[in-house]
Amino acid sequence: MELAGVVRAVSTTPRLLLRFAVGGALLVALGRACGAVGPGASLRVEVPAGSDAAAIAIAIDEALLLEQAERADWPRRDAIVRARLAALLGAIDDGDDDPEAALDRAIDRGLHRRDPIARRRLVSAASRALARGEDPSTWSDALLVEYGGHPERYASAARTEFAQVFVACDGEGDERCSREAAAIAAALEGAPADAEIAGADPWPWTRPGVAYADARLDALFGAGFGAAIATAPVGEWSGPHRSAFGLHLVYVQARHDAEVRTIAEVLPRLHATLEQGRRDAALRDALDGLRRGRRIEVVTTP
Amino acid sequence: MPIGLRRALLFPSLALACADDAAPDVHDPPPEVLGRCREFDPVRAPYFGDLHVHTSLSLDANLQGNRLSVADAYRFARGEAVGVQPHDAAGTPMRTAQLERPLDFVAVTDHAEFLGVVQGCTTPGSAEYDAPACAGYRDDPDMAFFGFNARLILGPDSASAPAPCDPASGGCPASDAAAWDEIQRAAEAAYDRTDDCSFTSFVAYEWSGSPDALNLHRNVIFRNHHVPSHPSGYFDVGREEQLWQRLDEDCLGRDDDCDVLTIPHNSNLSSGLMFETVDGEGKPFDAAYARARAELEPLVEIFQHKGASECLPGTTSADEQCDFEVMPYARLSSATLGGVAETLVESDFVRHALGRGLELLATIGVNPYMYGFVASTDTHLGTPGAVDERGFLGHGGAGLTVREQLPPGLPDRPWFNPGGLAVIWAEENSREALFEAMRRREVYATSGPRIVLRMFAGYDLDAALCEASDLAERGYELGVPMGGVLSASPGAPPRLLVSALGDSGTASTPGNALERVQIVKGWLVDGEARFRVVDVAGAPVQTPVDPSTCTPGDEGEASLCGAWTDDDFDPAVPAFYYARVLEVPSCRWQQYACNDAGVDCDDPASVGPGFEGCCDAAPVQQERAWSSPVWYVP
Repeated sequence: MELAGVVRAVSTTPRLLLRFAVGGALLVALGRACGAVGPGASLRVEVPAGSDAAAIAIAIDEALLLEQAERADWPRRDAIVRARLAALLGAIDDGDDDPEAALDRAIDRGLHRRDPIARRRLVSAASRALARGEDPSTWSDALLVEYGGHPERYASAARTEFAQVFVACDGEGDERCSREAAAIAAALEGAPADAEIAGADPWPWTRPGVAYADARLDALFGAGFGAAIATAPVGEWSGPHRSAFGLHLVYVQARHDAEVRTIAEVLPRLHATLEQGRRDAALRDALDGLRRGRRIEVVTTP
Repeated sequence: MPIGLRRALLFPSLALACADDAAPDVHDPPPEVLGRCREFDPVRAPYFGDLHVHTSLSLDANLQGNRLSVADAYRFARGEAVGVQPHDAAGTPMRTAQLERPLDFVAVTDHAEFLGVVQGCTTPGSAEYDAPACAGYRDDPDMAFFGFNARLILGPDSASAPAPCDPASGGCPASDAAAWDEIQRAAEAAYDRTDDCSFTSFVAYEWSGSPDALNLHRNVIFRNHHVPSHPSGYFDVGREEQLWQRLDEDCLGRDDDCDVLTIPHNSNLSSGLMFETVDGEGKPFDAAYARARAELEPLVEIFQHKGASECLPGTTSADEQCDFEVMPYARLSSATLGGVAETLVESDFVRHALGRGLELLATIGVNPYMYGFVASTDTHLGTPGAVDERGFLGHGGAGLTVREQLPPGLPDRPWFNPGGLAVIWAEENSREALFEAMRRREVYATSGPRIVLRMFAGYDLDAALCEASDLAERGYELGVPMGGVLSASPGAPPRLLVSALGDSGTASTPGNALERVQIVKGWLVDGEARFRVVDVAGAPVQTPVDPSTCTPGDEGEASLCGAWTDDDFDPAVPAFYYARVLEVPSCRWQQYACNDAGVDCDDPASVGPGFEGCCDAAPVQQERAWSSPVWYVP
C-alpha cells in the first residue's frame, strides 16, 4: 500500500478509527496498570556481606534504576543489551532457532541483572532518563496519541527499483525525441530489464537495483516523476515518462510500499515532536501571562 | 489494514503499554556501520545539504529576533513550514517559510561564544536571568548586539567572555551546558536512524575568532554523537591552531570514535588573515603545522550569504567569471557598520590559496591548503537551504535588522545573497557515509541550484565515457573522483572528465539550463602559482535573460559532459584542477523583488523607500557549481 493509501485508510475509515481509539485507550489503561510500582510495592536489594551504609545506599539506587529499565522493557529494546544477552546465551546454552524466544529465556533467567555490562548499561540509561525529568505517565499517553494519530509522519518512504533507457530532449527537438522514444519503446516490448538497445542517450545518474524514494526521484528528475514511476507496472517496460531532461523508458524491478515504523524505531522523533509541542505551549502560556492584566492599546500611524 | 501497519500499531504498543517511553539511552546508540540504508549505492549518490546554520541560540541571531530553536531548524530542513521574524504583538511570526525540496543533511552551527549568555538571559529562573547584563540584553538588543559582539573583535589573548558569563563570576556553566545539550538532543532527534535514512543531522558549532573584526571563523562538525563536553569557542581558544589542538585533546584523542573536522568560511572577509603562510604567533608554517591543518581542515566554504570566496576580479588569479557575488568590503564588522570601502585582498580567495598551497608543498613538503569545496547559507533565520532567489528572506545576523518590523523595500542589503548548498557524494545518507566523504573531499558547492556535478581525473580516462551510462563505475576504476590525488604520472598527461546535470526545478519553479563547464588549473612556474581557465563543454549564450521579466532565453543545455586533457602538463610540477559549471544567466534575488514592486530604475519615482538597492546591484547573475579539486602531486 502506498503512503497515501495508509493515510487515507486511517483518516477516512470510521470503523478503523473506532478500533484504533478503543485499542489506544486499552493500551494506555494497561500501561498505567502495569506501571503501578508505587510506594507500597516491595523492593528486594541484595548486597555483599559487610557492606557499609554508603554501599547499601548505592545498591538501593541501582535496584530502583534497574526496575525502571525493566518497566521500560529496555532489556529487550536496547540493541547493546540484546547483543550482550545473545552472546551470553551462546556461551552457556545449546542455542535456540528463535532469537526472541532466546532473549525471553535470558531475561527470565535474570541474565540482564547479573551480567555487569548489561546491568551497567540499563542502570545508566535509566539514570539518564530520570535526570531528564521525564514523566512516564504523561509521555505514555502523549506518545501513543501522537504516534497513532499521525501514522503517515512515521512511515518509511515508498521506494522503487528500476532500470531505464533515456532519450534526451531539447526544446526544438521534442518531436524528434518523442519519435525516438516511441521506437525504442516498441523495441523494448517483452524485453528483459537489462536489454541492450540502440539509439538511447547516456544516463549515468541512477542505477538498477538501488531502491529510490519517490521524493528523491522528484528531486533529481523533476516534480511528479516519482509518482509516475510509482504507478508504472512491475516487471515490464513502460513509458515514455517525461522528466526535466527528456523521456525515460522504465522497467520497474521492484516496488516497496510505505510502511509505518514501530514506535521503538521512531522514539527520538516522537520525543522531539512532543518536546516541540511543549515548547510552543510554554511560549504561548508565557505570552498570555505577560499580556494578562495589561491594557494594550494598538495605535495605527499613517 | 495492511499487516505492516497493524503490526506497527499493535505489537510495539503492547510492549510499551507496560513500559515508560523514555528513549533507551539516546545519547549512546551503537556505532554505525556503512550499508544500513535502503538506498545504499556503492557508486555513490549526491546528497544536498547545509553545513552552516544559526538559530536563536546564536547571540547575533537571537538579538535580531530569531525565535526558532535548533529543532525548528531541522524541522524546516525536512520540509515543514516555520514562522520567521519579525513577530507581531501577540508573538505571531509575520513571515513563514517552507522548502519545496527538503534537504538531505544539515549541521546547525550556532556560535559557541555566548551560548551561555543567550540561554541564561532568555530563560527565566536561570542563574543569570536577573543579572544586570541580562536585563540590558533583553531591554536594549541593539546595544547588546554591539556590546557583546565587540568582545569578538579583540585580540586572541585579550578576548574573554563578558558578564554575566565572565570567568571572574564563574562563567555560566549550567546555561552553557543546557545550550550544548539542546544542540545535541535536537540533532539526535532529527537524525533518521531507521533504514529509510531520510535525513542526517550533525552535532556542530561555530568557532568565531575575529581579531580586529577580521573573519577567521570555522564551523566545527562532529562525525557522530560522541562530542566534547563543551564546545570550545574564541574565548576558550584564541587561535585556529589552538582550536585544532583542543579538538585533538577533547575529541580525536579519546578512546571512543569521536571525530571532527573544521570548515573555514568567509575568507573573503579576513583581509589577508585566513590563508597566511605564518601561524597565529607569526612563525612560518612548518611541515607539522601544515599536516595538522590539512588533516583537520579538509574543506572550505566557498560561497554563502556573505559572498563568494572563489577568486577576486582583476587579480592575476582571476578570470572574467570571478565577478560573481563579490562583497564590497573585506572586514566582518563592515556588514553592520554600513559597508566601509576597503581594498579587497587577493590572498583571501580560495583559488589563490590553492596556489599558495602548491608553493608551500614545494618549500616545506606539505600542502596545508588542500581544500575541497562546500557552500552553505550561514542563515541566521534558522532556515537551512532556503536558497531560492525568489523570496529571499534576508541574512538575519549581520544584515538588516528585522526584529520588530519588516523593513520597507528589500529584505536585506543588496550585497547579501540567498546562499548556497553543500553537496556530498556518498554511498548513503548517514553520518558515517557523509562524514567520510567530507574527509576525502568528495564534495562540491553550488550557489543554490541543485546542479549534479561529477568529475574524475586519470591517465586512462576515455573521452567516450561521456556517452556511457556507467561513467561513474569506470571513473572510479580508471581514475580518482573530485577531492582525490593523482600520483606520479605514467608519462601521459592527466585527463579530466566532467559531467553535469542541470537543476530539474520544482513544481513551481523550473530549473535553469546549463551554459558551460570549465576547468580551472593551477600549477607552479619557478615556484610561483599560475592559473588557467578553459571551457570544456557548452558555450556562452547569446540571448541573456531579460531583467524586466526575468524570463530566461531558450539557450542552454539540460546536461553537459566534457573531457579535457592537460597538454601543458609537466610531470615534475604539482598542480590542481577543479571544475566550474555555469548556468545560463538568470535574475538575481533583488531583481525579482524589484520587479514585483514595479521598480523601474529609469523612473526615479518608481523607486520606493528601501528599494534603492534595485538600481545598485547587478540585476543578472550566473548561478554555478564548483567541484572540489583534484591534485597532482609528483
